[in-house]
Amino acid sequence: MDLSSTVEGDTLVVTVNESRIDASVAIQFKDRMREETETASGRVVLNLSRVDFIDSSGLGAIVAAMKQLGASHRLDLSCLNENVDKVFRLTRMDTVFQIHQTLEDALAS
Amino acid sequence: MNSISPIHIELEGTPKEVRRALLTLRNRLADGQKEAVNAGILEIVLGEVLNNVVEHALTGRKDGRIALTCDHSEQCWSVLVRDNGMPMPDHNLPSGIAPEVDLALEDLPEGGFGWSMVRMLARNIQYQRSKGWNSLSFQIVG
Repeated sequence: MDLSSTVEGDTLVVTVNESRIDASVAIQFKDRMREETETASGRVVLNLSRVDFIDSSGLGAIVAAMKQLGASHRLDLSCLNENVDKVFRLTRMDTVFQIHQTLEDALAS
Repeated sequence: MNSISPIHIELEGTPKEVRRALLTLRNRLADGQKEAVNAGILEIVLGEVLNNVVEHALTGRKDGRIALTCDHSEQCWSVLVRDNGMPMPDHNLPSGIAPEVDLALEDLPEGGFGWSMVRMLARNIQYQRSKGWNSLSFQIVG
């Protein structure tokens, strides 16, 4: 599971460099998120701009990643494509996460 | 709009095979049809249905087989998914009640969303068990 991260001020931006977060990679995603966010000091933004498909297992893995970060590190999302956004809205997970249209919006908020 | 010939895909019962089948479906749609035909919703529903088969009906099986057919006509997908796994519990479809999400962080659900999305997006969902095979059919407007 290819994730990369950059620090932007007090925010850690984790980018998913793959097109799918599905049942076949959900566990690896959760493990890689733990590794990438180990050194996070503040907020984390998960950049999903390259992701064009997510299933309920992938959604569960993102929720798990938020839970393992704990209450001291907020996890926001940015750049959801239409199908990814649909899954968040259908499950009402759009009410749990702060979702930003662009990475610039996420960093400015 | 050109009609799309029925799409038939066979797969083994693993998550990697589900991914391969959904990518095959995408490629077939991209080849035959330039107009969007609600392929996104079809992919979401099929992903949940197929993963559910892999995780429950075919759990622990090495000889699990899944066959799916998607037929598009009159702005509607008719989908049939068959598998040789265990029957649905009590031979009934999952209720698909959406998990509550208005909860504290540590209580948020990490699963249970699959069939609630299927119920929201598909219609005329029917299940039959015959001769060791499950048959699930449904329709998606698109």
